[in-house]
Amino acid sequence: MREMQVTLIGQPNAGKSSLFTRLTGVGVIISNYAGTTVEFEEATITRNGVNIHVHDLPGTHSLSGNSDDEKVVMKALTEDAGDVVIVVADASNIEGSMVLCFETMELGIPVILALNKMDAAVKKFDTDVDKLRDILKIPVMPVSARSAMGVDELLDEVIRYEKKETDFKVRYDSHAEAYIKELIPMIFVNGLDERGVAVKLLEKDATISPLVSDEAKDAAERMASEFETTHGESINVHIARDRYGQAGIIKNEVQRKTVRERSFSEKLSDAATAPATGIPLLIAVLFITFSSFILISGVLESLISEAYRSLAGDSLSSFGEEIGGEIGKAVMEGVDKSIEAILTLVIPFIMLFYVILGILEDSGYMPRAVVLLDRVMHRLGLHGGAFIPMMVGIGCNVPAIMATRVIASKRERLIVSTLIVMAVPCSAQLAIILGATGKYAGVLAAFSIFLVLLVMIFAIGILMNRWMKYEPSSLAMEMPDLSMPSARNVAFKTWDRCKDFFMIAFPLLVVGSIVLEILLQFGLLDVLIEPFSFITVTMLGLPGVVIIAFIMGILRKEMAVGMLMILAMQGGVPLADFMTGDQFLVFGLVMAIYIPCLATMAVLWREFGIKNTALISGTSLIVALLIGTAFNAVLSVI
Amino acid sequence: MATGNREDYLLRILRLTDGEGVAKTTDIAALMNVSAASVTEMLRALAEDGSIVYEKYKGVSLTPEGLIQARRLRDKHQIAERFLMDILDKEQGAAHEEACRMEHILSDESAKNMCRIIGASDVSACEVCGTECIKKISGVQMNRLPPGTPGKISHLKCDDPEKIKKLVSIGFVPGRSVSLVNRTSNNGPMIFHLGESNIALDQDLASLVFVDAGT
Repeated sequence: MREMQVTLIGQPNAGKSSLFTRLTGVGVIISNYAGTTVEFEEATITRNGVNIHVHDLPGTHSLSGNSDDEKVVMKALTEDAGDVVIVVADASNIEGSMVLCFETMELGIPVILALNKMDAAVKKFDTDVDKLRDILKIPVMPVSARSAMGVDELLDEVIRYEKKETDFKVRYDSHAEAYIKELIPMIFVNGLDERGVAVKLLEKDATISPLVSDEAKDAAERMASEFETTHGESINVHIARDRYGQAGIIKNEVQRKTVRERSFSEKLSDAATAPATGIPLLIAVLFITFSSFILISGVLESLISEAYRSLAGDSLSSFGEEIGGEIGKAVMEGVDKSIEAILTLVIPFIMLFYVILGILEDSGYMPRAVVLLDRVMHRLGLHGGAFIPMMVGIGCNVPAIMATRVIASKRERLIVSTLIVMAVPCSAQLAIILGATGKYAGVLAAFSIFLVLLVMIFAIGILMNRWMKYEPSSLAMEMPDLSMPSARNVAFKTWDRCKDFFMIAFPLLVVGSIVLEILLQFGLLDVLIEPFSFITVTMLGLPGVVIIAFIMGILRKEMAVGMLMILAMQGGVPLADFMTGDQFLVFGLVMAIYIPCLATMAVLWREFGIKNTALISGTSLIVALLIGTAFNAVLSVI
Repeated sequence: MATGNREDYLLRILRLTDGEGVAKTTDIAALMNVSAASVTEMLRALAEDGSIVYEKYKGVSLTPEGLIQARRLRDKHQIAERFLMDILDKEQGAAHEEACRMEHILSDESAKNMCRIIGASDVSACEVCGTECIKKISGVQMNRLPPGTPGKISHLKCDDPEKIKKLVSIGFVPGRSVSLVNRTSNNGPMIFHLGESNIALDQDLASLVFVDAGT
C-alpha cells in the first residue's frame, strides 16, 4: 500500500487541531486560543488505498521568529517535511498565513494551502480561491473543519499531489536580492531550495545555520551586518516587510470585504477588554463560574448518591456474601463504596468543572481575562499569560504544567508551576474541599481553605519573585474572535479529560479497598498506622487510619476521599460521623496543599528536572503539615 | 542655509537616535570622523536653525521639524539608491556613493517620480511621498497612538534582535496598517488591530514599534 506523510502547520488558532481531528477522526484537545497544541500529534487514515500519516505541529505565526514552537516547526520541516505540507490558514485572516506559506514554499517544500473556517469567512469576504491558486501556483483548498466542508476534497488533493515547480516567489529589496544571489552558489543542502536557505541565512535562522558551510554562514553574517549599517534597519525587518507587502497585494487581489458594520461579537470583544466594562465583566464571569459550580455540584452529588443507593442497594455486598462469606462481603462492600466514591466525586465536581472550563475555553474569553489580569500577575513576577495554566490547573495539574509552555521565560514557568502544584486546587482537591470539608464541616470551613490558598498564591508568588533572578518577558497574545462554544467539542473534551478517573482511579480504588480489607483481616493495619501516628494524631489531630488516605492521595488526589469513605465504612460509621467538623477542615486543608500526585511529579520532573521536583514536592508536604498542625492547634483552643 | 554637510549631521543624529532619545556628541564625532570641537560648532548652528535641541553635557535630540527633514533625506537616499540599482543597473557600492550625494539635491517631486518608476510598494511610510505627510504625526511609538486612529508601521527599533524577531514574527512589520483598539489599564497590555486580527501587546514591546499615524 502507498504510504504518505502529511504535515499540518499554521498560525496559532487557525484551526489546525480541528482540521487534524476532522481529517483523522482522532480527537485532540481544541480550545479557542493560541498554544493549545504543545506536543506532536500523529494519526493515520486510509483513503482510496493510500495510508496517509498526518502530523500536527504546534502553531507558529511565521518561520522567522525564535520561539521554541518556531524552532520545533523549522526543525521538523527542514529535517523531513514529508510528501506534502498543508499550511492551514484562517480564511478570514489570510495575510499572515500567506507569509507562512511563502516561507515554506521558498524552502522548496511542497505546499497545499487550506483556507480553513471558510464557512465563517464567506459571511465577511468574497474570496477568489481560483485566482489565489493561479497566483501562487499551488493547490488552494477551501475547507471548514467545523462543518467538514471540503475535507474530502483536501484529502483527494493530498493523494493526487505531485510536486510541480512553482515560479511564484517573493521578490525582495534589490540589496537583499543581491546578497541572495551571492549566497546561492555557496549552499548545498539536501532537499531544500538554495534560495530559501539563503534567505533564512540572512535572517540568522538558528535551525538553518548548522546545515551550511562556515563560509556561507560567515558571508551571510557579514551581509546582514553590512545591510544594517547602510540601511539603519535589520535585514529581518526588511525581508518581512517585503513578504507582508506581497501578501497584502495578493490579499487585495483575491479577497474583498463584503460587510463593514461591526458584528455583535466584535463589539462584545471590545467591551470585554476595555477596563471600564471588562473588569466588571471579568468579576461577573468568575463569580457565575464558581457559584454555579458550587450550586450545581451540590445538587448533582446528592442526586447521584441517592440514585446509586436506590439502584444498587446492597446487591453487591449480598452477592459478595454468597460467594465468599464474611470476607467476600467485606471485599464487595469495598467495591461498592469505591463505585459510589468515584461516581459522587467525579461526576458532580470534576466533570462539571470540565464542562464549565470547556465552555470558557471555547468562547474565546480566556485571552481577554489574561489581558485584564496582567497587572495583578506582575506583582507575582508573572504576566497575564499565567492565568490560563492556572485555570487549567483547577482541572488537573498535569495539562496545566504542560500549558505553561506558552510562557517564554523558564523562571515564570517555574513560578506558575509551583503555584499550580501548591496553591491552586485541582478538581480532585476541589472535590475534597467541597465534597468532604464543605459537606461535613460547613461552607465556612471550605471557604477558609480557599482563603488560605489565596494567601498562599500571593505569598509564594511574591517570595519566588523576589528570590529568583529576574528575566524580563513580555506579553504578546492574539485575541481570537469570541464564539459560541460547541456542545460536541465541550462534551468530547470533558470525556477525554475525565476518562482517566474511571479507567485508572476506579480500579486502583478497588484494589486499595481489597488490600485494606486483607490487612484488616490479618490485623496488620495497626502496624502500618502506628509509625505515622505522631503526624496524624499528635500533629494534625486526626484519626490514625487517615494515613492510608494520605498515602493513597499521593497516587491520585481523589483517592484520598474515596479511601476515607471506605475507612469509615470499615469502621462501621457513616462518613459524617467518622471525623468531627474540625477534623474535616484540617484534613481538607492538608489535602489541598499536600504533595503533588505521581502524575504531576512525573511531568514536573520532565519539564524542570528532579531537583526542582523534589524541592516543590518536599516543600508542599512540609507546608501542608505545618499549616494543618497550626489549624489543629488553633481549633482545639477554640 | 542648509549645506550638504549640515544635512549629513542630521542624518547621523537620526541614525543614532532614530527620532527618539538623545545622541552623544562624542558618538556623532566618531561617526563623522571629525573632532568633538567641530561637532559642537555645527550642533550650535543646527540648534539655531531649530532642527535640533542641543543641551551641553546631555546631548542632542531632533526637533519635530528636524526629524521630518532628516527622515526625508534618508528616504531620498534610499529612493535614489534603488533607482540607480534597479533601473540604471548600477553596482551597489557605486550606487550608494552616488545616492549619498543625490540625497542633498534631489527635489521632492523628482524623488516622488523616481519612486513611481521603481514601483516600490514599501515607500508608503516614506517622508518624500507626501508633503501632506508633514501634517500627520510621523514616527510615534505605537503605545502612544491615540485609540481609533489608524496608522502605518514605519520601523522597529530595539537593540535586542530577539525582540525585533518576535515582533516581526507576530506580524508587526513596516508598511502594515495598525490601530489601537483598547488600552486595558495604565501600564497594562494594549490591544492592537493588525490586519484582520486583534493582538494584545505589552507596552514595552509596543514602544519598539514606530507608526505614522493618520495614513
